[in-house]
Amino acid sequence: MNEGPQERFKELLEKAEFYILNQKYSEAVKILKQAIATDDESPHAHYLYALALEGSNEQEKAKQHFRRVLELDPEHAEAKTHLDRLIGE
Amino acid sequence: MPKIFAVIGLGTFGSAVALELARRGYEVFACDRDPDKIEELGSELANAVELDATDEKSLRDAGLDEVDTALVSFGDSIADSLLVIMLLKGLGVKEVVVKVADERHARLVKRIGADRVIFPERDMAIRLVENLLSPDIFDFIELSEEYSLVEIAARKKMLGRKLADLHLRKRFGVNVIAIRSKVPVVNKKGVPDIEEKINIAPGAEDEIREGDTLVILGRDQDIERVKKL
Repeated sequence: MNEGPQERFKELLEKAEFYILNQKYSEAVKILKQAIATDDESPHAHYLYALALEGSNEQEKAKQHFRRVLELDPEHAEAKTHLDRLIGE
Repeated sequence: MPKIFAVIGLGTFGSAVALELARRGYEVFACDRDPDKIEELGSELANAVELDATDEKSLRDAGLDEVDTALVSFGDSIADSLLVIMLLKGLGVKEVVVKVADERHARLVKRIGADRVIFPERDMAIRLVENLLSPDIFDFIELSEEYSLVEIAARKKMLGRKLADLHLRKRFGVNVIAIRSKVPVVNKKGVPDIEEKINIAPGAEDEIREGDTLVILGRDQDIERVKKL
């Protein structure tokens, strides 16, 4: 990615974090879809996406993206915890 | 005095119950006739005893006459579980809970004097079917033929509204007895995360927010109407 898309990607993640922290999970989902379309290899983007999906009660999709986080970063502790909980539910 | 428990039969279910009771700080006698199971659990349970529970003397020698509540969790033998229930009642155990495998077993143990019968496979199957058929039903407990307790994802129409404004009791005859919320937090590493908070007996002014799960008590037909919202 060149400078432009990278900046844009960062902005999208910041915006998504803002929505998540304000419990506007479905707004965050919309933003994170765009972020992942820009960069599908970012564990943090997939983590935030999974978190926002879980917050929106979209458990199945959330599981897929927590799994994707662990593919990209097998040591991601938060993704492990969430996935374990969702599978056990 | 805290209750003293016994778990007789340390299969998957029995050992999970014994370990959870011990984890919560209760005294548990965990018994099985299989020495391998006792060895396996011995490091985690202070009172794991190898014994034949169909032998009254063994039960008494192990101190089972001091137990308040006993779980009989035999998978294989109905005859053995009936005998053990009788022996435990004879020893003065106040409450005998029995895990059964089918309806016939349930009828028999009730007749023999079990205080409570549990049917984990059947109950779990019903809950699983409910969840498979309605993915936004997270949990389901049948309280009677007519009434159930369900956990249901907050409907879109409910978001941002106060509980009182939804008039769920008036419109549908159901009661919201708890709300489970997904509350955003920033964890120690500075990463956004979600924690689950439960609000028992929510008030009329409590607002329904995104990610909330409502724990609803009501008649099955009324709960069905809420699901369609």
